[in-house]
Amino acid sequence: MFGSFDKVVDKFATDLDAVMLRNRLISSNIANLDTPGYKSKDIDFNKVLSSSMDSLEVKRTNSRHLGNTSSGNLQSGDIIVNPNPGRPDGNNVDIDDEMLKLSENSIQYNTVIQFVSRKLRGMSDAIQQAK
Amino acid sequence: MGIESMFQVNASGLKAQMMRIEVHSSNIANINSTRTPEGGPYRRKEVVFQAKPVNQGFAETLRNATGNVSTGVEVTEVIEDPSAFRRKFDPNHPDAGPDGYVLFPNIDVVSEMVDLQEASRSYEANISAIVSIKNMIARTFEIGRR
Amino acid sequence: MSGIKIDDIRRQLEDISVKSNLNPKTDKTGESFSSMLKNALNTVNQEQLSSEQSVQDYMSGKETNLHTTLISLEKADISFKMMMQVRGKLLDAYQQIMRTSV
Repeated sequence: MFGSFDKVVDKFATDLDAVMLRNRLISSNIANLDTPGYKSKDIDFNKVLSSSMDSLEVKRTNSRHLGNTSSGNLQSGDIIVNPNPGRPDGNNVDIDDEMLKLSENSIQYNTVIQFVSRKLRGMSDAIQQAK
Repeated sequence: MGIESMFQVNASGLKAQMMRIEVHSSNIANINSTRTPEGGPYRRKEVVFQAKPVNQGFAETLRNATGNVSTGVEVTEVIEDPSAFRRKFDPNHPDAGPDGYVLFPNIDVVSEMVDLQEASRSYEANISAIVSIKNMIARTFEIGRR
Repeated sequence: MSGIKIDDIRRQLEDISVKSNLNPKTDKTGESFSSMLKNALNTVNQEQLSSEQSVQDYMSGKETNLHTTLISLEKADISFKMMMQVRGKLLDAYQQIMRTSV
């Protein structure tokens, strides 16, 4: 519906923030594949995406929402550190895992980009054609 | 421009793994170096990796409460392996000691090859990460494309 | 996200559009038509500044997410297009009035 155009676009933008955050974590894991003691990090993606879905339907007054300065749903608690002891040097990054996540994340990103760009173009076209 | 920070993490990975490759290549090249400018046989070297935070731009950090998560890597030092040199009895060797033994580098070629392979694989993984980011950036220009 | 609210702009401009069909000078509630127009233009102007700011942020490295900047630019573009649409309607209305002989 027209009335929720901003909400939808902003939700997509927030989702993209989440995807980018996940990408930073994956990048960091890959850079530290061989760093002694380094534990791999990730976010609970489904949880983060579905919580941003809730924000579309229900107006929450919640300490997590900081008003106009931050519409992000991401909290430091969303970052999960893999607790596995890993290899003898303490590193628990699994290269195959990370490569898989990298691909998944890339596809996720492209998908949401498609959604938001079509939404924006739709509005743009609608205005241009309005008489 | 903020775009460099997207690549900084894996760029640091490339740099670190490359240094690791160089060090182990050097070990292999010097497997029989019984003398060095510093005196004595070549001693096996290895790199020490350490995680290093990368600045990710504070606008995003303001929007989300996750803080700066980008972590790169750096080689903090190149250390020498303190394990004992290999001893080979050869009194005719120019570097033989008074007891007739020659000291050879404490390098095992198989172990070095394994290190080289791992470093290579990690290097490639960082390349993949960079390519992935590059593609995502390219796709972002869908927004506003007429 | 970027502070640009397309829905708000649309509502403002729609109000003006409606009012321009009734009476170009004032409406029943007493708010003058020209002040409504001024407000709407201000809002659109704010959005333009906001989008310029988001480009600045990106160039200076403060913002590292490209999508945020591009979405902001696109929203500013949309709000501007909306304004141009209404401007067109206002111009038509004005011209109609001018054609009406007194």
